[in-house]
Amino acid sequence: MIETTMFSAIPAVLLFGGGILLPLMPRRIRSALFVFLTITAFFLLSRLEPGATFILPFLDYQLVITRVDRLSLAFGYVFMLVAFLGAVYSFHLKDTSQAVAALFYAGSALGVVFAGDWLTLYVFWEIMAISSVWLIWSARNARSARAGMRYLLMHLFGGLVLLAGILWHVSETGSLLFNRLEVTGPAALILIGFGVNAAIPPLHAWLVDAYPEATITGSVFLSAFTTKAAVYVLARGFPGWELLVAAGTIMALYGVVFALVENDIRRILAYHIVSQVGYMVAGVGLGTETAINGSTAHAFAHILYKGQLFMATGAVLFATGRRKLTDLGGLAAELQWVLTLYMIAALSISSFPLLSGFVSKALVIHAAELEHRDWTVLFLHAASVGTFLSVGLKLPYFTWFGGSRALRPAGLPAGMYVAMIIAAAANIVIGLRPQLFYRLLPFPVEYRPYTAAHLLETLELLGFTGLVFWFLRRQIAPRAALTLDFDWFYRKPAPWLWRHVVVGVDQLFAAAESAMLALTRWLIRLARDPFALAREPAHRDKGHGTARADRHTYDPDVYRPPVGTLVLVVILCFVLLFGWSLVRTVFGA
Amino acid sequence: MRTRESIIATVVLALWIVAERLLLPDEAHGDSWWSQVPGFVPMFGLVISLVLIAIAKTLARLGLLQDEPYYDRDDDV
Repeated sequence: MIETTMFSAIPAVLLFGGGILLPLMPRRIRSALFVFLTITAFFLLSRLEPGATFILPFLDYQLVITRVDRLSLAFGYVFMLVAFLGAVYSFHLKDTSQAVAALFYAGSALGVVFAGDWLTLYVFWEIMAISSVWLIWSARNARSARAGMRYLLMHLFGGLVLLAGILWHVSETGSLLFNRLEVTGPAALILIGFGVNAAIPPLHAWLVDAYPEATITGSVFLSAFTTKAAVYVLARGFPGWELLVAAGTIMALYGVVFALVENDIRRILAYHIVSQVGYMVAGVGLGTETAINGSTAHAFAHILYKGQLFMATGAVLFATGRRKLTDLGGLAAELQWVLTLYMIAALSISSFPLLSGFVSKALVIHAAELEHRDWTVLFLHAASVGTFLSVGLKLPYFTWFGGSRALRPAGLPAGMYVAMIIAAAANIVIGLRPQLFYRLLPFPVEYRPYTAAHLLETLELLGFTGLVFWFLRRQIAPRAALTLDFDWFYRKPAPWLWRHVVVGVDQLFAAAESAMLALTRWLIRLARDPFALAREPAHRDKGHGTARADRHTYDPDVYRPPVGTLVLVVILCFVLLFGWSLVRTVFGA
Repeated sequence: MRTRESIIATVVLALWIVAERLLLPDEAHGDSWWSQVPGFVPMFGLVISLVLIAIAKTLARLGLLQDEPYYDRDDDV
């Protein structure tokens, strides 16, 4: 049943309205209000029924502001869940602007997953880019300022490509409705636009460049919305596109390889966003009901455990001020609870049994098995191995164990612990009660994750990965270094381009400007003293050395004929006229 | 891996394969062809870990890892 109701747009409106009102509220209730807004939005969302729409006439078009179905609801639920977790996690924060940005970011992410037409989608898409960059800039240092600008430029580029694709698509089909696309020119442009946000290599570098520079609390929101909203729009617009299976598989492996050489803990996690989103993109590419279920489930679980991973590493950063594995170590005694909570999330992402990743990743891989894509399955298993190796073993080993650096970690705000505990509980509940979790998915699920075969396979894979890590842990010890990625292509030539394009043009403008100024100055001098042109060049040059009045200013008295001359001429004329009239009178007539 | 560790890994792997084939029923193995091959999955985990580490180290050697102020050395852009 299609039900047209404005009610379906209210959760997003509430978040936007909250974002506007929050700075006007008394300072001490702002954090609580932030949490309250996310809970209310979640509650309102849970009242929505699939089939509800909200249509707004605009010019000749009908804008479908919201279109509620099971796919968009699943993403909506988890978006509100992580917004709530992020709000609790940042309860101690005094910086209201970050809360405002987070509310706008969450609201626009909701707007994207409920948008039923391309124009609405595009508007929310851009709000998402602009509000999220504030969470990077709020770190308020030179690195985050630059990384944020690169992030923004990349997203504006992606947004423009998307807009071009949308306009082309609408002009060809005449329909604004956001549905599955066939392989056409406009669809390719739209795919590139979505691909930027989904961080599909080579369009992914903004993610690993910017997320580690965001604020501690901001990265929790960042890790959730942009990439998963992109997974949603891919699942809506491009299910069954074969290209995405290959792209997703490459992403899954690309992320783990780069994460292995990384040293910055938040950059390791960022590379694992690329890797995990790869599973979802591959699932979208498979396009079957099981695969879309798998992608949705994995997005849902991923948002929870990745949020928790960013919260735990953020807690380490908050307590120690350090973010590099080479600067960390021996924190197991002081931050044992953070370690415990981190490990729950790390084992989730490694698809350890009884945790959320086990039941969600299995669904994607199961979908590939059903399609008899053995290579895809094996590559995705290989990516799992890499995930466990770096997030499950390397990162915690060198942060909490390894050599002690005699760090004195500061105490953590209670909100941080509360948020991490809730996230951990959610991961455990999903892992223990998969059938309950599967009920949220867009299509009915037959699959049972807890079979002997699946358990054995997972434990064998992870067990022997652990063995290799233990033997080679010194080999893969972190190195204080920076990883070059595709951002090299726009970061390295940037200074050169700056010098030769920006500075060059700038210098041309400067030269033109000074030439114009010189010309103007000369004209002014000339207007003051037109006789200068007539004077001898030698005289003019000599004038430069003498007094200023002599040089430049035109003194009319110098050149004006004296009054006496004028009087003489007048009298002379008068006398001549008089004489001539006299002569005519006497001799004429 | 050094010799001693390679030997330990091989022994653990061999013992594991024997144990799981003897102790676990056939239903415990999946339907895919690799689940039927004894020891394929643990070997896969082991080999892939080694391969991933090797790739990562090769990338590092190829100059993918640079000093931290790599980008800062250029003008402030």
